[in-house]
Amino acid sequence: MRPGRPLPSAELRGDVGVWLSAACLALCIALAAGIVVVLVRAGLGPFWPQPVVELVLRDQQRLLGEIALEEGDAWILRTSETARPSDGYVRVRRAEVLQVDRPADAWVLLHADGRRSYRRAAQAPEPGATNIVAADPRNALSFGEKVASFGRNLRAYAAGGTGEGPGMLPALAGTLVLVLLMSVIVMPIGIAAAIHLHAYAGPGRIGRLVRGAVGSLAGVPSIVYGVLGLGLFVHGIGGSIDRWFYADRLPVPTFGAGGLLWAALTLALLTLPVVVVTVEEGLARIPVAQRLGSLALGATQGETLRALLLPLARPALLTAWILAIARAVGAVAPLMLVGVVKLAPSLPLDTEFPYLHPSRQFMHLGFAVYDNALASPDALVGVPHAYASALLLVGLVLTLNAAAGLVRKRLRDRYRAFES
Amino acid sequence: MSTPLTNTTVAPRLFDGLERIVETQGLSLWYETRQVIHDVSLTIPAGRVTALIGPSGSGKTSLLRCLNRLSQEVPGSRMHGEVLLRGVPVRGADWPAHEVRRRIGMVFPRPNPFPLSVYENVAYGLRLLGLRRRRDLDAPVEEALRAVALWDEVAAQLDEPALTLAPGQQQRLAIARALILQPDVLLMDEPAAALDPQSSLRLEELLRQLGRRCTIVLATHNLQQAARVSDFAAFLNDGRLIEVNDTDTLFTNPLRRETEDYVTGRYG
Repeated sequence: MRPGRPLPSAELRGDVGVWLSAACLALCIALAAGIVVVLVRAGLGPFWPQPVVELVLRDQQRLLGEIALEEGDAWILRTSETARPSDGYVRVRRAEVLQVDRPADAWVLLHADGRRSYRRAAQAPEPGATNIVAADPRNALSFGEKVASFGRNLRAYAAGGTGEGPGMLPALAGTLVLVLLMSVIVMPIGIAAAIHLHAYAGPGRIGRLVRGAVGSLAGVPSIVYGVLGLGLFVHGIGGSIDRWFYADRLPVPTFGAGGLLWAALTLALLTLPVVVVTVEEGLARIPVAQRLGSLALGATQGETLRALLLPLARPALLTAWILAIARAVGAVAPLMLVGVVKLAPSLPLDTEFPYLHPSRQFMHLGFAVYDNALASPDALVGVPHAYASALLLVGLVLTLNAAAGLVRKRLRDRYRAFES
Repeated sequence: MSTPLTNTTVAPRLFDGLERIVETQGLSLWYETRQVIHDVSLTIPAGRVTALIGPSGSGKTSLLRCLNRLSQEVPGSRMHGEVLLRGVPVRGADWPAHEVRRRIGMVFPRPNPFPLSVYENVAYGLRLLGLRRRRDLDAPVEEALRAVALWDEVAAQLDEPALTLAPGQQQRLAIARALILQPDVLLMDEPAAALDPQSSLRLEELLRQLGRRCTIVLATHNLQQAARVSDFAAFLNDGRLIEVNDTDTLFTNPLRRETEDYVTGRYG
């Protein structure tokens, strides 16, 4: 501060700081809440039964269907699909519409081949006659029936089939298996590395160098790990395995193509720095008196680690695991290089021996978001599905976090006396 | 720098009839470049309580930690000279560090029970030796807890976390934890530093009892405590050994002006 310019009073300066920081915090909360609201609205909204409308046009033509989208001065109307799913969209200019009705006798029919059609009828159409698998009098539904219909729609979409694509379960299962396999790989390696850094590497120059290197690895973009996984695991190791053990099947690759195992290894590489840094910090937080107390009773370094330090560091291990999951679930880009697919013919985990199939390609929620949003044949259905997948992904991460957080809290309570 | 007044210089008959269980010879210790122990040659007689007295920072803790090789756990520490346990160098090839620490137990200034049950805290050392079954452990655990007069207080809560005990109890638990290994020597580093006066007195009483069957080295800056508990006393100042004698002589009739200033409270 230059002389001659009076300092604002301490209270005022404090106030500005308080307001500024509060505003920033409010912005953060608003953003987080906004994401959730958008995902819930856009992801779940389309499953809520929309009213069926009948548009009467200037030329006396009548169109029966659901308004899928309002686009400036026009509506996109989803009408009966005649040949295949999603071929019934009609663009209607508002100026041409004379009248909008909501006929109470309108029926929405779902056909066995996934088509949807709309019809006005006094009675429920004969099931089976025209391959109808479901029919509902949309505009006559009560609120309770709408809720039930919402639940049915959601369940049908999640389970897949009936023209709605593969559903969410394969992608959910793929994501879960991938994350768990990744955890099984990364946690032991990361913990062992952290133990070595903490207990044996010491604070010297090499230790500092290694710590710095591990820290910067955490900042490498995930796609770089994808390329590494493609070159090292898929083509390098996978290719070699194929040449040695599956030569009779070549050129059809067995392990030489992207698959669950390579994706899990790639994600393990990606999350390793986070695990190492977090676990080492956890070990460093344990009071020295505990370590010395154990050593003074004739325990070796290794015995002290096993009997005392690792149990005490369990909250940190859980934190490391949570952070690894968070980073792994969010990394979709590298997966595209090492084995994720839009539609996998079979799950990586099933009832067929050996139950877990590490060479299989798999589906992933994060990829489903991308694929639905950009590459769906029916954009008007795909985008809401992208939101629904994103919502499920967020739900999955929050559930895993909450579970780990609960366990961590219980551990913390047990060791609370050591935190002081 | 004057020669320290020890049994070798002024009182050759000081330890007559006593086994010299621990001896240091020209012991020096550095942390990085800072020297904290200067050329200390000290004899600890078996079956007696020896007090290390001196102002804070005089090297009492560092000297104790040299005796059980705990000082080597501090990164950047360096030790010169010898520590002999029953005449054998503790840094020699025959002595891995953990074996030395089994023979020379240690109690720390602040109670540091492990986050385990009372029982498992006491049994920790024996479990390290490979004793697994509870019926092998029950008797030694009870004996160790009785030795520190804790058995009657905690017999009903052996499986409770040790952290629920009062500080005085925790410190006696730490002593039981060390005693269960039946060490030759017990190093006590300000064992009453974190205790209230009453617990502190109880602990001293315990030290006097233990002193009859075990060699104890007690580092303390509480002179009354040293006078009440110890048979011999060594005065350390600034990492140097100044004077060693039997406790009564050292306190009432010190030979060095430095010692006299300290024990009469004009110093430190």
